[in-house]
Amino acid sequence: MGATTKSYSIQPISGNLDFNQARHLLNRSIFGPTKAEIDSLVGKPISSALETLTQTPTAPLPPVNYTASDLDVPVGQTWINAAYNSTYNSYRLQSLRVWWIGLMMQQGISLVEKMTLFWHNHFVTETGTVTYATMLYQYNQLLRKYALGNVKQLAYDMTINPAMLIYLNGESNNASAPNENYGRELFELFTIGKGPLIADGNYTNYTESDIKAAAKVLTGWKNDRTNSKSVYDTTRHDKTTKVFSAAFGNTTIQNKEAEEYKLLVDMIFSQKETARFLARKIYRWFMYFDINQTVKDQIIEPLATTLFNNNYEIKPMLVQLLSSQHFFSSDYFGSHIKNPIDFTIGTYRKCEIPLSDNILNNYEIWNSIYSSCQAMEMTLGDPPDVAGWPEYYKEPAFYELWINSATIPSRTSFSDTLCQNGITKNGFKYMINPFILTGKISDPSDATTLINGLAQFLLPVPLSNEQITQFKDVLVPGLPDSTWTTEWNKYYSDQNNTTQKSLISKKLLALLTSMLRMPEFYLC
Amino acid sequence: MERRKFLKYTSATLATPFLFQGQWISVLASHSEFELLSLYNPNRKLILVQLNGGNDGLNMVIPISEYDNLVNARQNLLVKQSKILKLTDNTGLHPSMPELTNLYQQGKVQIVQGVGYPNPNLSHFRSKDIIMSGSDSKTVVNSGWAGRMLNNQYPNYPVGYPNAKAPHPIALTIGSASSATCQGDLANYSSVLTNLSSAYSSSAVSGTYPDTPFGNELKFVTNVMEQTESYLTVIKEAAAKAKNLSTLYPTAGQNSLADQLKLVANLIAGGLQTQIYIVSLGGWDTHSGQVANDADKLTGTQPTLMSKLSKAIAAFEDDLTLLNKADEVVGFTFTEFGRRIKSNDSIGTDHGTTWPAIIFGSRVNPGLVGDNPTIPAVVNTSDNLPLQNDFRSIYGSLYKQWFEVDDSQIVQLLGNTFPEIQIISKATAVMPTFAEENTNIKFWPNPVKDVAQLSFDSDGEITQIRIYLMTGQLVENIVRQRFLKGNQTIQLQLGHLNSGTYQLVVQKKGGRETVKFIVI
Repeated sequence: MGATTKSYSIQPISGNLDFNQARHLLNRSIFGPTKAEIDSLVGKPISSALETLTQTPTAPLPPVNYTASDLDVPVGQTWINAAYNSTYNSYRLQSLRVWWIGLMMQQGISLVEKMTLFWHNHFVTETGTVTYATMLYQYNQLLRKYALGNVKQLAYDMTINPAMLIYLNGESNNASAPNENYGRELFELFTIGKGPLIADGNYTNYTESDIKAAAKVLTGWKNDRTNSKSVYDTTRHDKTTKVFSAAFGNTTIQNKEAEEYKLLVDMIFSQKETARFLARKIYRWFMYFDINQTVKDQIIEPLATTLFNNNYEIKPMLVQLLSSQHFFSSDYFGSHIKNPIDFTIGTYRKCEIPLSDNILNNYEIWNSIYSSCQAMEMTLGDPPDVAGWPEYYKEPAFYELWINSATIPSRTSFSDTLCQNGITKNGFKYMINPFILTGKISDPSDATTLINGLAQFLLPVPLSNEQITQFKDVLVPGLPDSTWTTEWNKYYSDQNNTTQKSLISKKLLALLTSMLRMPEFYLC
Repeated sequence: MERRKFLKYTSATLATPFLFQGQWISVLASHSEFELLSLYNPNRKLILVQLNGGNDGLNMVIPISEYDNLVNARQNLLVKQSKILKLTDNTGLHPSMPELTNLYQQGKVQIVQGVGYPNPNLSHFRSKDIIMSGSDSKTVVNSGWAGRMLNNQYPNYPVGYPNAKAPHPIALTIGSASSATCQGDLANYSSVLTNLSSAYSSSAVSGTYPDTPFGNELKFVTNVMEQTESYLTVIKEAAAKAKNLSTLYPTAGQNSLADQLKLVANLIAGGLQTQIYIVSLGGWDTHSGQVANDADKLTGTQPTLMSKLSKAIAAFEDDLTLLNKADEVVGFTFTEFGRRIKSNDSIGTDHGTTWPAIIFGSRVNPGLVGDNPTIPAVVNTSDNLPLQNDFRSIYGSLYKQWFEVDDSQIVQLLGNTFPEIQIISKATAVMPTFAEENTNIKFWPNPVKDVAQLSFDSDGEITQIRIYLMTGQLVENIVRQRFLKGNQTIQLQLGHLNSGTYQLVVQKKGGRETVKFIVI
């Protein structure tokens, strides 16, 4: 099998995936894999599983207007081509975010959604700053387009993306008054990252003078806000020769007008350190936050080499990481604290909560998920600042920052609601249907099989005997296991008996409530 | 209720009638924190003791008068008549329960015979559901009988809870999951406590975590969960403030019910203001091997459980007495059904109908309620014990006598009226003794013939004004509403009262004030 408890080998595992491995792979690759999704990878070699995961799906249909209050756009039609209107813009922003959540919820076995979110957290823009819904849609499209594609190409397009030009003041960056904002973040956060400070203004990987030079390269771009496009204006462009530091081999960049920014990107990406920076970020996104020297040498370095040698195509590096013996070390199963998107959307998906046939109801529930995530300190589209969510970079706590005495009650009340009363939108109730889940278990009439069957795909690790006993106490308190069998069979043999069905349902939902409140459920 | 209407128009109040869940609730001003104070005795606690499995009550509370016919029906599990512990000449307890017998003789136990409901359902799940929801056999109700009462009192829970005014768990289940008895419309009112060391069951056993990335993160999340569980903090603080004093508790781990009640006593003594506790003991589903297959039939599965029940209750009561909390606590047992009169060939009994409820506490009206069931000389396997007392009578009587819930609310909570059982002793004073001297309430004239004036200082919160006899018996609810802050004067029509001495109690959030008055 090639799987051990703790390995630092980048070599791929051999053999076919077992259930635990398939679950681990999908828990990290998509939000809340269902039992069926996990089962579909069992018995397959890792290469085949990753082929499925890295397929780029067709681009989704654009978001649609779903409120009568947007008078410029009929309900059910997209607003992305409508002229900006300051009154209707907020409806369009709402439509954009529910569209995004809907895509994440309806994803299949594909890395696209996790990677889109990754790039959002990497090439950050904030909705509150950019504000224009159409531009933010384009920004999302861009993330999606290169989610599993070429990072350098993504960096090219992001540099002149309208939303980004607003966010990091690219629009105001002109020859007579350069604005360093984007240039600075390009080096520090988006590509090569800071190294040790070895002299005044010298961060090893780049210097302050590099930032100034980069700002000049980037001059001339602004937005045509009416048409939501970025345009190049040569009169605003700095046409001098820009000189870079020894960190970049003293490269010079001559005036190349609208194509010049690409040369800047090429220069930065030609440094392998850029590949290492990106490899570390991907590692923390998919694996674990602790990058010790062994991980640096045996994992990060080969990943960076793969990325670099593939001219920054991200797929080979992803495949390498996600097939490695290191990735499949069982000590790491369940070591990742789910972020709020993963927790909320993952719960809907994993528990197979039915969606409404009426898309408008679904929009409302997706909007409520957005609000739930906000309460859990992850506002989709609005990371706290350009560095993204601190859980992915702030030492020493990293993702432990998601968990505190305010966010835990948000999470428990979220899961409790889905297990108990549900959320009703226009008569349609969103809540767990326990019989959908029991339908996936071989013999739900046996209490132990039922409990283990649910735990197997809900949790990242198996239950202890103590825990199984406690769950039996929820299912059949003070009674023998055979009571569950009797009562279940009574329901199963006559599913029209609504009273018995309701009794069984209550028991199952009580069991699920307890399971979703376990600390293990917060991990994947 | 003319008096109430009259008062509404004469005093300056913020009161408006309020429609909630289809019921007009006592006048309550709109306020961002709805807190009806129907439990005006915050010191009163109720312990629900759940016997899981269906207790063969016929072998617990034994009708000595029917002994000969009992022999015909269930000789293979019946003890010798001489061994039965007599409560009266006609009724006794199984020999495994000397402690409970002793408690009965101290006047601290009431036993209600033939408890059940019409159209009994003999399925564990369904019957439990009926008992815990307090519903008809034919109706499915999703809320619990206690939950509905709590729903009226704390309608917004859990939003905004815990808070400075209500920092304690509203109800507490000792076990693994919230008791269905406390299920409200929006949430279950019961917190859950397994033991004092943790509220969360993680895969780590007693605080040991594997030294792996997974183990590290699991430990972290578990720790924050425990810190966050503010009810857990409050519970632990209460537990730390007091110690159990009784020596009658068995060693920990020997008697799960005793362990649970010991914890409850600790919490009550430590000042936890939770008013409803649920504890449980399982294993009563004795289809076979109910007692030992020997001549005496004194031991075996059910006798062991009955002994545990008896010892646990006795230790609990002893502890409460030593802790000076006995007057604040009443408990009662319930089970999903009784068992068949005729035993089977496996020395067991099948599911049956009615059972005896054991109600215990120093405030309890002691004795037997109901008669011995009549056991026919020839009993068929399908024969069952007859219904004498609807189980909802117990709930309704506790609502009324222990928690002082109004009759109109009781009907709403149970869906019907059920005959009242005098569970709480009338003779005991129902009010704590507060010193009468106070300069803040004025009552004149005193003595009074017809009409009196009452002036008091309102703190702007809900105030309840009631009249009691000097024995502590409630005579009249005058009003319960929010008055404007400051001095208030209201007029009282008292001409209908018999001559005598009464106590008027003005109950506010901040405390009680009382004044004695005489009607001539």
